[in-house]
Amino acid sequence: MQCARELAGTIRRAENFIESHRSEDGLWRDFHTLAGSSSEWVTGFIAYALKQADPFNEAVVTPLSVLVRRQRPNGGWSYNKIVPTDCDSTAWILLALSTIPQWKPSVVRRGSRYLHLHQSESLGGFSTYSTHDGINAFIEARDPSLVEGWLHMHPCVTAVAIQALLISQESTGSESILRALRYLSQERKESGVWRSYWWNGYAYSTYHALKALHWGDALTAQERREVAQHLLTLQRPDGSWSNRENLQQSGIAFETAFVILALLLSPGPEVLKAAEKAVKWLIACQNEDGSWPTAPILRIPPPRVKNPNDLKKWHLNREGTGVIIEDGLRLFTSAAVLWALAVYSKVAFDTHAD
Amino acid sequence: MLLRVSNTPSDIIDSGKDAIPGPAMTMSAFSSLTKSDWPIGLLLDEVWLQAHRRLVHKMEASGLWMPRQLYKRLLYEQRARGDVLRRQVLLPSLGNADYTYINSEAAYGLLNYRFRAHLPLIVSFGYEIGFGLHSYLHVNESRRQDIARLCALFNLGITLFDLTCDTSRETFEELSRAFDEDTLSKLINEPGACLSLAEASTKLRRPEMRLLLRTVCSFFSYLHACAQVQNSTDAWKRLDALLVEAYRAQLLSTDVQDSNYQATSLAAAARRKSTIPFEIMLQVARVCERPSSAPLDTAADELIRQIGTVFWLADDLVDLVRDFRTGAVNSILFNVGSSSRFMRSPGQQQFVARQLLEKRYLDQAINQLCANLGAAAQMLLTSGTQSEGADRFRSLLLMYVRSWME
Repeated sequence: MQCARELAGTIRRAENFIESHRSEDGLWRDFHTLAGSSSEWVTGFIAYALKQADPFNEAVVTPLSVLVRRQRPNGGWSYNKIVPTDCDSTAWILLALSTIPQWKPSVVRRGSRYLHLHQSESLGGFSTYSTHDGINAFIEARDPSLVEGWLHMHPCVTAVAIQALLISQESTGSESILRALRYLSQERKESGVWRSYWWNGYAYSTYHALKALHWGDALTAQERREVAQHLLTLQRPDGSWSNRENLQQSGIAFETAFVILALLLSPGPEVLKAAEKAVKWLIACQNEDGSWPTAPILRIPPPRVKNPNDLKKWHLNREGTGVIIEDGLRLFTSAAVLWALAVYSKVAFDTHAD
Repeated sequence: MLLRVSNTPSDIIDSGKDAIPGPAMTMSAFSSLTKSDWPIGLLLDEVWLQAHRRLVHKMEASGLWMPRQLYKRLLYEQRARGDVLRRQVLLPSLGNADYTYINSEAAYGLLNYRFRAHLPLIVSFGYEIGFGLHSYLHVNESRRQDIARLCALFNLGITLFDLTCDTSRETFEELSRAFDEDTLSKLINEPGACLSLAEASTKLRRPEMRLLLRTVCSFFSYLHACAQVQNSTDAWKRLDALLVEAYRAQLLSTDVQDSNYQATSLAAAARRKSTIPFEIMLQVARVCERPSSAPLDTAADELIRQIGTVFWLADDLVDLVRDFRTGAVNSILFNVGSSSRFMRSPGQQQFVARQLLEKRYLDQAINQLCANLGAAAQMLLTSGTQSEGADRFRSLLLMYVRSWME
């Protein structure tokens, strides 16, 4: 029970850190890029994470009200106010809005329709941008082929888009969802994890792919357990996970959080034991202010690049493209860790709380 | 009951560009409305806003709207109670592995968040209804905890039943096979049947089905252990009849069922599905306790009818737009003259949305809700065995009605 109390304190400090770092306009901001910091996408993610950690958290009401007012006429939201709308930001904000009463149902309808504009008719995956979004004009690329990588479908975007559509009451049997689920199933690597376009690791995309396929009833419990077994083999001796499928790299809080979440989709004694070790590592890593150390987690491939693995050289924490950057304010990482710790706490400690 | 969930498709209203008249409405009824300038989305925004605002205003005017500070305090207490009950009641019922699963992000798939968010309140709501009814009927407190816990288990069981039915047609069919009316009758009348069902539940492939059947087994085992009357008595027979009726109403109104039932049958089933659970909880209190005084017993029937009506209407008002979009059964939509599950064209949808805004359908439901809530609150103040218990019960009813809306 000492550990349960310690975990409760860790969670409380994390919530305080995140809630006290909102900007004056009510939104959270993080990730510094050439286009500035992200506000809308980051706020959608953090709000959703906070509500997953505590469904009664009221700190998200103001930020989500601001986001509702910021919905663009095309139904989408964006990385921030100046960048064109995109599918991933819109999906995160729809997920976040699903956690509060839908006081403006038209917002969700328009958001869902916007997401559909990003689905590949033939292959079923979702892209970050569609040609209608105008991302090529924004980055001053006259030839649309120069942004074909960003217009291409990605598993990490598709997995979140499926969840957003399903939570917005699209049927699991709709043709659009079935095509997206097929695409996502096919994108699973032989090792059992999912690759990512925008993330410098496999944990985020693997967790969200598992969840999307589970929600869509397109993955058996046995298949989930097989992925969990593979993830268990990648745990480092200190309890953490790195962003590569080997044990040589250092542990990263963001990766560890999403692996814990992926594992807990198949809760069992072995998984809980591994998760406990990881949770202890995360508790030990927490900064005094309640945040967690960041690492270069978000990658921005050059817009023409379809497969980021083709790019041999990446720059760390620089502006522009071909870069991998940290969430400098540590809000994104801390929200992910908070989410994982809260889910673990509910699954693990309730069982023997008396 | 507490948790209103649905994953039925919204594409029934989004997809139809061609007008296909549904069984409950003809083209002529709405053809003149298909050229409205107001998109359906904005009409639904207005429906949501009016349903909530008018209900709050009416409740405020009737002295039934709980002040925010008191509401927050009671809600916090109920969540805490729910967390304790979850461990005390569910853990022994489900066992470690299934208890871990029910608390995880995997349980009930798409409906997981709503379920996890509401789980503590689902059990505490059942507990408080049982506790409140017993304190209304009896001074002696010795059986109150047992009855309250039984009602907590019952409320969880019926919520899981609802969730399982609505998960998918495949799950619904599997459930119909594993837990049919015959099984239910045996559980009610033969204490040993719980063991057989518990044994059978371990072989089920879907953990969600196992969770449901284990909860059901736990409820009936506990019920048989607490019962103070023989199963030949009227009280027991009434409980038997109500449980069977609740089962049938649930199957009839589940979202994944075909829509070839008469609208009136569906509406009646939906109403009964919402109100019978309260009658069952009263009947649980009766079979697990010695009889109370006859006038009080009669008054309790009236009280629980009022409470059931309040939460049935609160469900339908709060979920009006969701039900409109998903096609779930909703009495207010039926009153407009159609089931949303038959609305296939934008014209039909627009007709119903405008009727909701222009006619008195919302006010009728709101007035009925407030009249029943006011009457229940008044009954608790003027009758019953304990004024302190009645005050607490009244406050919790007001708190839960508000919580439905937030």
